[in-house]
Amino acid sequence: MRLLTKTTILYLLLSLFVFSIGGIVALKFIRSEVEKETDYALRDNYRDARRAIKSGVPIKALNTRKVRIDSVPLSEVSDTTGTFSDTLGPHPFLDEMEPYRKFTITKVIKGKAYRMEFQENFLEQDDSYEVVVKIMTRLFLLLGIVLVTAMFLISRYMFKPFHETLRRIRAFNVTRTERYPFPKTSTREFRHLNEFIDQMMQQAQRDYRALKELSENASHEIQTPLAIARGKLEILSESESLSARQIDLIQTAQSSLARLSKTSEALLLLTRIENQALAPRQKTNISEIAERSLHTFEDLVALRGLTMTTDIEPDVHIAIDPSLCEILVGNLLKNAVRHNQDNGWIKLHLSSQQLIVENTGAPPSVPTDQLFNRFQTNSNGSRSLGLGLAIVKKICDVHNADLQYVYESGVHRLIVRF
Amino acid sequence: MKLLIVEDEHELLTNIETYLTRGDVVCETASSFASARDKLIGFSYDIVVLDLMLPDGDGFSVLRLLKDVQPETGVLIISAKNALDDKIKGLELGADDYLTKPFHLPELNARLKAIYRRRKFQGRDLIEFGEIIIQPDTHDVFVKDEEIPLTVKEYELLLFFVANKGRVLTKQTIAEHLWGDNVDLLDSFDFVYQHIKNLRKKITEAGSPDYIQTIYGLGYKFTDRGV
Repeated sequence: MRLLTKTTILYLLLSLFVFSIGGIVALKFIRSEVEKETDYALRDNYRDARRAIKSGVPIKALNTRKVRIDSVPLSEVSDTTGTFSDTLGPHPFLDEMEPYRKFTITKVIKGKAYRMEFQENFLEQDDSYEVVVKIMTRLFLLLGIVLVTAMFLISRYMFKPFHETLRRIRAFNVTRTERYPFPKTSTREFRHLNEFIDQMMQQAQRDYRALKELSENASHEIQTPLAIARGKLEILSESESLSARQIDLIQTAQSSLARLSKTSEALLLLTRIENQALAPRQKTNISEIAERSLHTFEDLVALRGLTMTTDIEPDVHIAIDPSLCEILVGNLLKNAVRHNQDNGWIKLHLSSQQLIVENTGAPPSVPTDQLFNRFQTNSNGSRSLGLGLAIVKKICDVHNADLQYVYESGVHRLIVRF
Repeated sequence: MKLLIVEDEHELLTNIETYLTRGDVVCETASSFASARDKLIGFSYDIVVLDLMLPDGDGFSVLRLLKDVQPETGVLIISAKNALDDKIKGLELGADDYLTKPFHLPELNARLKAIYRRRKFQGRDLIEFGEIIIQPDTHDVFVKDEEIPLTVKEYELLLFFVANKGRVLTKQTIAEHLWGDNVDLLDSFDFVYQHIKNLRKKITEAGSPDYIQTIYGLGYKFTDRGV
């Protein structure tokens, strides 16, 4: 739900609450005001009647539907200040009762005692309630319409810089060096947000560059001593009359150096893919690369005694860096050759949607999805580095391709969906 | 063959010099941009082995200078950076080959010989070793004037052996030469053995002595001594 929709709903709920309280208060005020006015009118009527009696108008002429004056024996009464009360009386035309306000007073005028009752129509409870509700509902509706309209306008104009900021964050690429200047905005919060994000982006780009330099330097620093050590051993193995023991020592040292060199190369490659450091995306003919890779592996497949069948759709282009594509296909094939069995087979299928490499082989000793982890090797005693599939996985991730490893009755199947 | 090796890492320089100096190969060394420049202006070389990272300037400047003063000299770049950009830039500037550290010295040797052959004879000369004659421009191999059919890998293997004649080649070195980065060498030793077995069989069946000497536990040596 959008922020503005949320706040509007919350605001409307709050105003509903305030309007209800306001309605109750308004109802109370209206009632007490009406009562005061009615009482005032009743007292006026009483004053008029008293004046009329004083001037000698007979009380019969004063009696109406709403006024009733009786003369009472003087001895029975004393003067009162008068009392107000609510009562019900018949409606003059309709066959129903309606509320009246009554003023009762006993007064001695010119030596004669009178008992007087004055009545006045009083505002009905239902009526006043209806009026208040009607007013409040209309006000509430008006407020709602104004709010919703305002929300649209606000989201269009006030939140424009915010949406622009979001767009820039989404387009941010840590490998690029160019800056992303944010548009100026007069809203202080957005200005602060933009400054903060700008700083974070620059920091990320700086860190990224530092990391990239570090891994490149580290690779350089490792490869040079490795080259020296390897060379020394090669010169040593040129010497005449080496004993079998010495030869074995040289050989072991050589293979450890090779392993170290391969590992550091693969790790550097992984970091590079991770940072998307390789050339920008371009369309690569993966069919050509697949054919070329197959050619490279041809003799290995034959020497290993495997059968290879292929089904390659020509001229499939996907958005990937060519050298990464080569590594992807190469690693998949390498994996299929290495973890195969005697008289086994390899099948490679390439279409515009997917690349599938299938091979026979022993069942995996760990769950297949764990084989994408670094340094995770399957077959026991295998001297593989355990980085091949991790590299494949990384390449797929960077290019938003889906990678799946399925093992089913003796067949390993790796599926890459572009 | 006269070489200039430009490399700032002293030990690596010694390695290359020690390994390559043999027979008619003469090596001179330079460990900085300044001394490389002086030598290139003063003397002529067949091939320059060039490290891209030098303490007082980058290797590309040496390359540009070289192409100015001695355009006929071959260049082989050695670099610790396996960066495609550097490789492309180097080859565009006129380098003949590019080798990533850590490399095998026999690999360096074979590549230098290939550059030398290409530069000197445009690859049209014949390579002879005992009864074996290799025609590099057509990839044909003859034993006692009889052509023997070799697969691509067997041909590459034979050429590698001849370029490194009299030197020890480990299975690792051979595997890396034949399959490059594409194959983890650690389990391709059996494949090397297979190829060598086939090559040996084809050559000896055609009537040549078996020049491939097995050094138990270490590798192979292509030599006519002891045959």
